[in-house]
Amino acid sequence: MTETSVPSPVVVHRRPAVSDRLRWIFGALILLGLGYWLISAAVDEPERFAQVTVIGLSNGMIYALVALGYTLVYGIIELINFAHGDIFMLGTLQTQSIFADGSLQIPLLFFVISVPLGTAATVSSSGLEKTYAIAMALTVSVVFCLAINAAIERIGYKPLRGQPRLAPLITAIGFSFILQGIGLSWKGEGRIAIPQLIPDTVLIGEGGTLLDFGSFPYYTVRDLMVLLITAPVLIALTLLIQRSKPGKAMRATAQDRDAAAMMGISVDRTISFTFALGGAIAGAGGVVYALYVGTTYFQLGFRLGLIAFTSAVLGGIGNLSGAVLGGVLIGLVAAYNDGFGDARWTYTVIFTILILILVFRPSGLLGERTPEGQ
Amino acid sequence: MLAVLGLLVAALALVATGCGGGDDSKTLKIVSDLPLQGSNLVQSGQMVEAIEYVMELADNKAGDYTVEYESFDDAIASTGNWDEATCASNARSYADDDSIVINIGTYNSGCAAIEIPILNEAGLAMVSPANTYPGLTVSGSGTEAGEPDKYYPSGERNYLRVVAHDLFQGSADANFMKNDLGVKSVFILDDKELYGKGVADAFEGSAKEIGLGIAGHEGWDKDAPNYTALMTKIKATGADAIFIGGVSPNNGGQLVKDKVSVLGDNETVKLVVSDGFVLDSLFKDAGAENVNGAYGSAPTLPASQITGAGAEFLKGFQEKIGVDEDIQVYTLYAATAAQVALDAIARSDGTRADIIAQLFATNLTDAATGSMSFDANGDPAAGTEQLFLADGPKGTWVWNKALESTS
Repeated sequence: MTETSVPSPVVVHRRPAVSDRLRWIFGALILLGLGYWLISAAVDEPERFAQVTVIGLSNGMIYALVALGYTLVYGIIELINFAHGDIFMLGTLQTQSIFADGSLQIPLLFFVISVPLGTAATVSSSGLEKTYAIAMALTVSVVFCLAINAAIERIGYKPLRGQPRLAPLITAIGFSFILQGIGLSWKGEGRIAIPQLIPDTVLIGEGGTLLDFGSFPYYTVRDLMVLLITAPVLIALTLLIQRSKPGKAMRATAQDRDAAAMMGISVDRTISFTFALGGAIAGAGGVVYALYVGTTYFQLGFRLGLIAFTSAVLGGIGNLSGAVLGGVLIGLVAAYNDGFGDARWTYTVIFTILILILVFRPSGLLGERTPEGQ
Repeated sequence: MLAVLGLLVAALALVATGCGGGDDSKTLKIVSDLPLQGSNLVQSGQMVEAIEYVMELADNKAGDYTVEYESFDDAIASTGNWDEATCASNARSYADDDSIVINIGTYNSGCAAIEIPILNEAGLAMVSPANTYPGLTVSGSGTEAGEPDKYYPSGERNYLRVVAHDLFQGSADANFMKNDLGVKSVFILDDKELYGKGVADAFEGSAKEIGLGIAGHEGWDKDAPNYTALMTKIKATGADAIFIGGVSPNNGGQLVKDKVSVLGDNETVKLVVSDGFVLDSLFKDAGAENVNGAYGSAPTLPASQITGAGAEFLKGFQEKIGVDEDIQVYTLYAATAAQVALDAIARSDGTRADIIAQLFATNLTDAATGSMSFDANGDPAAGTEQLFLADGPKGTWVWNKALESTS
């Protein structure tokens, strides 16, 4: 009893090689199975395979837009901003207000302030009216979501800097519910239709205006719209982070907060900037979703946020290209399963693949890029 | 200490008086249990008004008994939908209140599945104006193992409904598709919920029986952003019709919209939906042009087809609530349920057990929806199934005809 225990040296146990090998064989078998399934689908029904791929790509790009917000914030302060999906949801609701009522709406707890911006746009509106409505929606939704995310950061996260990580995490969950509450009191609990301003005109495929062939509407104006909005946003974001001064500050803060501060970077302002940027992207995502899907409701952010967060983890959280890759991959898997498997099991399939990838690459496909991960 | 004892005695005396009886023994209470939140309120609020109107016409009397009525809500504000915990706690409170003899409810079959066993153990009657899930009263295709017995732990039946169940609807829809629309192969979709899957399975069972080809049967995920990939699969099966079982608030608008965008309008590939989709809100959710030409079935007579005593009742009710107000699908069935309840109480000795017996012996000829009597399972002896056609330009479902069912 009187003996003093000597701390034993830390021994790193390597996993037995056999279990490692079994794990890889198991993984390879599943990958082969999936590959076989997809290739046989592509060979049996090439036309439909192409169609489903386009659907998956378009859905995936929307997931990617939302995933970017998660990944940006995680990359800089390692916080999973659970409220991000709900900010995206508010972006879709704001877009609906602009299209259906022609007004910017500011939801307060028990009433909504309406600021008229023009007339409501419908399917039959002129091209100019539609362009104006979409431009207005993009501007307003981006500013609206940017302001909300920045406000949330100022009110909820900033005071918790340096506190245990669980505190801001719980705050994020709390904000998620508050934003859902705002969405509920703003537009009610049912799903609401958003006027479809972009026609479903086929560009390539059966009856296509550019290329008329095959028996499926491969590429429509709506698919093109997703690409036309998403691609510039992604390019602008990459340029901003790689070339601009605030982008440099973001990267420096992500790598080493203390060193960045010592170099004269305002860490607080950089973090606030990141949140604002994340909010703006969610706003743009909300407009794309509204134009492409055409319905929304107050709980949209929960499921979509979960998928987007999963995309970010799949690609490697904190890694911008990873978020895009993850989003597109999940969009494709969901579409292939809906189109060739059984729609009942789509989310089971998505999350099984996620677990498998994490087992083999715990830091995601392209690897984490966080202060810890560097 | 004495004061506390005194208070206790006083409280006990109060309780004893409450349970006692005296003049109160002739006062019985019925309750209704409906989802009174959100978009449900349009329908269920009117059902409450219809029950109140029945009570008013009867002057709150049933035979020698004075009958009180109270409306309960089984939905929660945050979702606007019925809630499992609320259904259970409502049922427990009815079971514990000896003055309550009949529960008119529920609206949703899922909520009924929770309430029936609780009330069954308390020997309390339940009359639903709207439940259509077959497994609540019968076994067969579209029901789960152990149904309906698992809902009746006492071994005695205590549940009746005034609308026909979905085996009836499934069979009527399958016959209509094969014989009237000339469908060769149908793809079935359900929303994976008790009611939706039930009616879709019932439809599938009937379709197989009558030789209508099944191209596939899948569930849709109500939280998916869209269903275009699923629709391309349906297109590849070559199905010339789709049957949807479920409720349209489960992203039904998106489903119908994507069906039309991939498979073409409802003339090219026929669309038949169950009564959970026969709501005017579908025209807004999916876009009126996408719903146009779809057929929907419902186990309820529309107000325009009500005749006799029911028409009289309807006239009075319409005046009471305002002539501009549209009569919702299940409103008159709530009135019928209330009339059935008062009729059974009037013939009973006032006990819960006898009221159940009298409910099963119902033989009303002048209820709001026509004649009403029940079979041994608690289902209406003569169910009805009506067909509606979606009129896009008007944005409403228009009554088409009565359907034939072989169930």
